[in-house]
Amino acid sequence: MSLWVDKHRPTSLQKLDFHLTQAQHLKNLVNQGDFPHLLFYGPSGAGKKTRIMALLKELYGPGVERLRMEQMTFTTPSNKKVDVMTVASNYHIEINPSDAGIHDRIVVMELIKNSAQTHQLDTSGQREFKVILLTEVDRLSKDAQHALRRTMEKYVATCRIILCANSVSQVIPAIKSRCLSIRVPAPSLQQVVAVLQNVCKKEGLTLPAELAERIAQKSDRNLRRAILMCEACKAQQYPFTPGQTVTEPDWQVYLRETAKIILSEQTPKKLMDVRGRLYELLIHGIPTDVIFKSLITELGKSVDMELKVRIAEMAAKFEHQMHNGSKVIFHLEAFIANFMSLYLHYIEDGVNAMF
Amino acid sequence: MNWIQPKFTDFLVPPSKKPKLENNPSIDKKEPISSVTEPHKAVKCEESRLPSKPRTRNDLVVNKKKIEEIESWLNGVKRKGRTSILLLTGPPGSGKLTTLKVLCSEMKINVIEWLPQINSRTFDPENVGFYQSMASQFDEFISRATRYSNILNAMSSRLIVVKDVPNCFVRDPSSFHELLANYSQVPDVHLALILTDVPLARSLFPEHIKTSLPLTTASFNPVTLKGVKDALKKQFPSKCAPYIDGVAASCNGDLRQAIASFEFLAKNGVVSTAKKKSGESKGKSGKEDFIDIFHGLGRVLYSKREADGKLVHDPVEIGESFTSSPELFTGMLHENYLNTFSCVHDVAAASETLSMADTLLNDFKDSLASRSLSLVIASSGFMLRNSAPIKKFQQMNKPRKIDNLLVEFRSQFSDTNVLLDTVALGRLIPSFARENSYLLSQLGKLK
Repeated sequence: MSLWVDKHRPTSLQKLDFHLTQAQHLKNLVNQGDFPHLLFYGPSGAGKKTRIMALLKELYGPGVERLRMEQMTFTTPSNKKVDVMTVASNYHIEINPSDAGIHDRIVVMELIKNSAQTHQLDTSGQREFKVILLTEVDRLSKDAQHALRRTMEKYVATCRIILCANSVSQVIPAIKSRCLSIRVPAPSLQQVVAVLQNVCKKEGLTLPAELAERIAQKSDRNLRRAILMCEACKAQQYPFTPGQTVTEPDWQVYLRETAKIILSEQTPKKLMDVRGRLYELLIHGIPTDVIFKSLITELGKSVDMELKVRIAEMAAKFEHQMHNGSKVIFHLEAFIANFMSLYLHYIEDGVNAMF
Repeated sequence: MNWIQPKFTDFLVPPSKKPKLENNPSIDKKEPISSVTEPHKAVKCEESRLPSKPRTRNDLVVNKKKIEEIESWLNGVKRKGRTSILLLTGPPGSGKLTTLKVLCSEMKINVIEWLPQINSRTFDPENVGFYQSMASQFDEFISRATRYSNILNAMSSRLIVVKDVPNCFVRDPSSFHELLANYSQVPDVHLALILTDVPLARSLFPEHIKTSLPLTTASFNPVTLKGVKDALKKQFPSKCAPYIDGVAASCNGDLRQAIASFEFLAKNGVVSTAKKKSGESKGKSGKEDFIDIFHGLGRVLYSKREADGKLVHDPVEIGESFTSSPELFTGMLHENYLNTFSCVHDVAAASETLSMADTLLNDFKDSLASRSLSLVIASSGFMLRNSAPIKKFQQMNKPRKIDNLLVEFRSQFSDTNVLLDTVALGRLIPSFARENSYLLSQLGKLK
């Protein structure tokens, strides 16, 4: 039995639950039979992937749902073999080039070359182009993005590229300008609640409105997380009660505790403890942007507006340096150390002002 | 065929030069690859220019413990029917060969030394058969030296000393290992290898070789300052007494260099104060003094200041001495700096410089200038910002390696965010947990 998230995912543009005008636009786009390269972006759990798959189905028919997993092997100039998993149908191929780490450039180039060099034999019955779907484009190295921009132009006759990213800030302008950007915003709380109710109805369960509301709030308007949380709630206790606990992802709780530790004491010794926790997070594969973001949110809660601005500025600076550097832990720690210093000054000033 | 060639030139040396064997068998040197045509040339000991060499172990300036270590190995040599290899490492001029020779002469062990001679046989296109590779020359030398004994002291034990391993083995350590393995099968072969280069010693003797061979290692430290001074006083009792301090300080524990420069001083007669000064200001006259990574870290992390607030050690100098392994240095600094800082404001400033250094390091990775620049930024950041270092001994830790646990499973999900959410919450959903128990057990939970 698959998860609710996969089971109740809308499969066509008509069945989407929210952003309906956008869905109509997408439909019109596809109905013309051709479209430019696309760049879908928006927060995680907003439905980017769902829309892309619905779009492909609209374009090629139900054939795109017959997926097969394939392992592709690329050889780097230094003769190293890089294996990357791809998901493909007859009409499209999906790949996450950031799996290849620093060799992502070679993956992007080879993949597009391989699949775009062949033309469709019979263009009467089908579209004359294939679709290449690249996910997590914002995690691509600059090198790979530059390679992508060149290949995109070269093979425009035989393939369309759909890019999927969380944020466009990490995508180079050259790529942005070659694509039609489509922003998929996170659903509003009401929309999340509505979807949750809908899913529960299909499952034959009754979901109290209060609980749905709470799940929506805890999920940060991330629909995927909301549905998963709902399913986890069902596993813990059914029938639902309005006051039942909603479990959050463990790393979110962990990050919140880390922020509490930072606020509790500002000494080099505490920073050492925090470093241990950061290592733990990194080992568990929590992306650094998530760490930065949740820390700012949590730390920002206990300071005033002026300081908030400075924290955000600091975080931006260190995150930028982190992208240019190689050892993420240096920059994460530098951010926390600088926050500690700033916060200590802030508290001391507050104490002095009282007397 | 060619084993008939007279190899041991001892027999051809005029008898007047022959040393009395009881007194000093260590001069009983064999020239391994003498050319047939000019056997009388050569046999010149490099140390002969020294005024006097140590004769007894009391003359040595090497640590007593080290001497005992080597002595116990040499005792093993005297016993029959065994095979052993000794690896001596240490910086030049620390007395490795001298110690060995003195002990051998005391214990009446024959020392046969391998002296590589580059020009002994040049490649002759008309007489190709005569050409012999360095490796086979070395092989032959060892087999001869172990099989045939000197007629004059046939009964005493023999020790083969190899000071410079032929370069062909440096390029191809595996053939060297083969050779050593061959000889470790033969009884009564005793080899002493002397290497000054630590990385070379590591490449010639990796761990698995060390354990598979009957190998003993001993590493020499540079001669202490006091040791150098004592030796110099003994060598040159009357003259130059005022310059002993300067020369001893400038030689960095290299006794050979110290004696050579002292001789030079004595011969010139003009002993200027400048020489003395440069000796004191360290490292200017002699070779670049090498700081190993722990020294460098210590100097940076426990930064010392003079009374007027100036730093004792120059951060630029420290930073520039690690350009060959910048990432290790910054990693080690990062791993250990928190223990030596007492104030969080200092930590903030220092960590900021480290972050900057890392960015620089990655930006122009291949240029030496940016490497040294980033290292200098990092080291000076730590040294200048640390207003009150905690001066207490702390263990230095290696930088941690981050192995991302997710990588293995990434490909099962379309992107990282999906994976994170699904794993964190799927744990609570029984049907998912059942199907993916392996994945969940591998990833573990954050505590």
